[in-house]
Amino acid sequence: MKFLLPLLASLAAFFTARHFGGIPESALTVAPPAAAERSELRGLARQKDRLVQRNCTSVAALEKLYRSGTLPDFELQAALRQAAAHDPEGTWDWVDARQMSPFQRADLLRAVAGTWFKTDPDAVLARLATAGYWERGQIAGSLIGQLMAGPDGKIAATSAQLDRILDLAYIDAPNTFQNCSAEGAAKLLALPAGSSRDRLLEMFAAVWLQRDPAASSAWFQQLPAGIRNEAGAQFAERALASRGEGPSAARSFAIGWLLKDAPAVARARLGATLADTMAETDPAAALKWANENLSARPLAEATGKVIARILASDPEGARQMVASLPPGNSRNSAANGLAGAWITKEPAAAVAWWLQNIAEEVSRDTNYGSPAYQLGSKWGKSDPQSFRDYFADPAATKLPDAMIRSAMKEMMANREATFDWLATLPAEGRGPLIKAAYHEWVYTAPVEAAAAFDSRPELANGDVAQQVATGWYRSDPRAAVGWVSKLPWGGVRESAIAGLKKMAERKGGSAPEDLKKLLP
Amino acid sequence: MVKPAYLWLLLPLAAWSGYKTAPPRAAGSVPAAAAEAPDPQVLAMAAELAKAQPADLEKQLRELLAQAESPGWMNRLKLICARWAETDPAGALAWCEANKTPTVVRLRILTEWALLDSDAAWAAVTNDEERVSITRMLLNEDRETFMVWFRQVRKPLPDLDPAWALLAERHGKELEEIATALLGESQDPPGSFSSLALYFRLAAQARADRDPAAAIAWAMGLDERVARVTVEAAFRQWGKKDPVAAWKEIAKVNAAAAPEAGDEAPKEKPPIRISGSVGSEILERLAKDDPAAAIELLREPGAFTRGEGLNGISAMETAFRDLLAEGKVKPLEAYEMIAFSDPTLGLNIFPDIWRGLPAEKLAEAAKALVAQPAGDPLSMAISGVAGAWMAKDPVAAAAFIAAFPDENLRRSMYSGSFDASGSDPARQAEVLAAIPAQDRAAVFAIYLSRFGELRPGEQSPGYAGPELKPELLAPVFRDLPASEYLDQSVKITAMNWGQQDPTAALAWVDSLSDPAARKAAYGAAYGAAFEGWTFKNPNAAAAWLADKKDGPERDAAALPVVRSLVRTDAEVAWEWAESIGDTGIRQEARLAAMKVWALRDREAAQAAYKRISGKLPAADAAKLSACFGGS
Repeated sequence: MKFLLPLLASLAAFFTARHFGGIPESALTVAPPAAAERSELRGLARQKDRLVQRNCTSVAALEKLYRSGTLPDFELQAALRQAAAHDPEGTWDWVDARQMSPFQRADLLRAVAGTWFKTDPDAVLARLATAGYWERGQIAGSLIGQLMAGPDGKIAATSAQLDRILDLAYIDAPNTFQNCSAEGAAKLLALPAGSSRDRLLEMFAAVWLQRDPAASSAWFQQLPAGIRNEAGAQFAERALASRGEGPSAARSFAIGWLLKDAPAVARARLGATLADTMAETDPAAALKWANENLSARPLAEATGKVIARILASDPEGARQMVASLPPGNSRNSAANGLAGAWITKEPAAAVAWWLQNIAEEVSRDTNYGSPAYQLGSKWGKSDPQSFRDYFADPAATKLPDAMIRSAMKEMMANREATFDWLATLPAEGRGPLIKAAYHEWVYTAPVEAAAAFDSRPELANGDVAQQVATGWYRSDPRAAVGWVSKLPWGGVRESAIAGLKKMAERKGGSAPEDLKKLLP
Repeated sequence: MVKPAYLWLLLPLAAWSGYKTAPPRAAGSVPAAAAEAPDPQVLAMAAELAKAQPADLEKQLRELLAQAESPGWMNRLKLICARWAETDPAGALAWCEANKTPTVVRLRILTEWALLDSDAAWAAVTNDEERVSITRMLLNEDRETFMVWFRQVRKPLPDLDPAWALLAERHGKELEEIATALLGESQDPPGSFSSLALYFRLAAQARADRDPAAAIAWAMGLDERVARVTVEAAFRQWGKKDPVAAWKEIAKVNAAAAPEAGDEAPKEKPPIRISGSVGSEILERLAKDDPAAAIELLREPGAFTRGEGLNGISAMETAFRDLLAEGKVKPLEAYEMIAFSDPTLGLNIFPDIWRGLPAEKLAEAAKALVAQPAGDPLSMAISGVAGAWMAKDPVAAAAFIAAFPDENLRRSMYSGSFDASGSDPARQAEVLAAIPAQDRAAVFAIYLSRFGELRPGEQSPGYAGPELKPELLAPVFRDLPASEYLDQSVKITAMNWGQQDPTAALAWVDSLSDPAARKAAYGAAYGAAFEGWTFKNPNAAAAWLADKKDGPERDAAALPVVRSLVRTDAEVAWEWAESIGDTGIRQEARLAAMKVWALRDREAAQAAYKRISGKLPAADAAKLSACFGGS
């Protein structure tokens, strides 16, 4: 019995350890190869020995091969296809669990989906629905491409399957239709009539026109009007956008189609881009065409773009052209565009001209992103010294609030220098500038804003104290109250407390206890 | 005789031998690989080549190059090159040169030669670029030969091939030394990113496997050009083993990296902030095993800035979509977990997490969700479920939705299918037409109201929704029952169309049968179209309106006309305002004209005001008077 107990305990220890042994430290940790793993074989025998083991007829074999570090990246797709032919879902899961770039992942899933689709299209479409939007689009496009490349001259998918593929996501047509030809067009036209066929035809026609208008234009003209109009609009948008990249014949065809055959809605939708393209060679003709064919926002955009082109070669002419436009959105849009281009070169002159040529309601627009805001932002960023100089002239026209605000925001990138400059200005005139300096800062970084306020007592006033306190109160009421409680007694502190009181009232409910102690 | 007590010494030995003799298990859920049958094609090719001489190999290679993309092409190429390298590598290279073969053939021969005689192969290559390519190919062939070449070329940069991780296990220290030397020679300026970080990333993964905290401390101390990527790699690796601990440490690191008040002095080495993509990767991993814990982490401040929070939301979307599709979480469980943990998260991810469920599960989900208390999260969730269900089984889904009595939920469900078509303007009308007449306009109007209001003619149009094709949408709204939603729908359509094709839009508006809808559309279409007309041909625009009979529709159309005219001629605009019959619209038009007129010609505007002020109610007169800055 004395012998039995240690023997039994040893036996138990053996099997317990055996149970816990053999578990890899981590699914993604690979063990170092032992020296013995190096093949003793050489030349053809070595390569044969390696390749013969690459028979990926299961996901486990794929995993083993991948982990061996012997599978070059560009050969992984072939291994995946082989594994997917035996276990498509498992192979998809295997890719799904890998850590890789979105592009590599999409490439690999495309390989799996292509193989899977041949045996069970419904299953792969169901699985594809769980992928992210971009990935879905990539894979859906490759499935369409695969169907188009089918050797039997027909697209071997049901109409319902096509609907599901097209519903998956946005299809990147130029990537999907790599080889456009009359044969591809015939394949598509042979599909059962329906919205999926029409959408594919539209995409295909747009890509083919872009690549080879001479070969495709006659076929394009024979398409039903609805498909032709949509395909033409898709093509024209792409052709006009690809400045100098696509064949020039495609751009010429797009311009001709928009001018003569396009429906009014397509012309209006692409009108600003078309006018801009025409203005490359003849700005006056472009402007005339825009005036005669566009209205509302498309006209305003077209006018702005054409005048921006004229500005490059004839600045004075462009300014006169804007000034000659009747008041309205087209003129405002053109003046904004012109001033936006000019302000980086001669900011003071550009702003003075803009104020003279813009409708008052536009210059008064205080919204974030308004034209005045955008101009101020460019000014503050490109030439802060000229902005400072502007305020040295007491007779200078008052700038819009939004412009001051955005310019000061840019100038606060160099905080101390800006504060030093503000300190040189007469106290009665610098108030709006200091307020503008703190305007966004108190929301984005109230702690820093409060510290800056404390560090520059010569610039401190009640308005700014209130601005800092209320801005801070929104994100951290307790900290804001704490800061105000440390302000010295006097008007500045009173103003900050009044601001906090208003904020507390606006928020509703009872004021925080800390604030109640400060209130009179 | 051995004493029994000595037998206890066997215990550690037994445990050790048990551990060592355990059969290996495959990682994760992948089953152990059964022994694969040898590839018969490879065996046959190898047998054929076993005794091949250069002349045979030339012939075989010629045939192979003529059949690009034939099955087993790459395997055959490798075997031919392997055989040629062992018989006559120099002759093979000369033949390639003479026959202008693709680069891959020469590289394969050189790689095989390097495996047989590294020095000789090295001497045969004079081009650095080619040496790097061969070095990379050697990585997958034999890591020891790779190191011989790598020590000399010190390239390429590591990628995600597992071969690099295997290499780092054996040669990690040497790789680090080479990378440090390369960094010392690098011209990358301080503060920039150096691609050499990829070597340190490799080292960080291996170190983090052993001791994550030490790996992070080591990475933090590296040159700033490589530190961030290296620290993030260590966190990523840590997150695979212990996501919660890694997440909490990221929050601490990011909190320490946040600027302190008044701290403007430039730091010698800027603090490292871990990007949101690392946190989201960790969250997604955690969510797959413990979604509730992942949601709790997402709600904790620190690891994500406000902007990076989107990364977290995206991670949850992916994780929940997979969990639902795999049946690991039931739809109602997912809804409760998300909606009641964080409504914002729900609003962001509910539309798109259901698409992996089969139709019958979607039906169950819809039935379970409609019994939940109403609210925005429920609307979003049910909309997402219905959209996915409509895509998979439109007949059953449509029947369920149509029979559902709660109007708001029913419309939310329809909006799910419209949402799915939102990015494709050509499909909007098709989807809308499938929605029954009683709900169609409401679905459209409510859906678009999420994206702001379209303001025609303005530079910042205020609307950020999907592109619309009004010419396709217009027929869908014909003959629908009158409602506030119909008014909004035709208004949106008219406004869009009026900008693009005013004549067609106005003709459509004229054809609308519902008077209230026509009135709404008139204003919108005129507002959108009129500015272009006043610029091109103001008389034509005014004539169009002058031909209209007095009445509510003309009044509705006249208001945007006044707003457009006021920019060119405030006095004429005022006259148009005076011609409006409806007192409310007339007052609005007068105010629009007077605000501008008072700025441009105060005296004339005041005279016009005085002419009518006596006849106006006091409140209306006060509003007009305020345009002059007085009371």
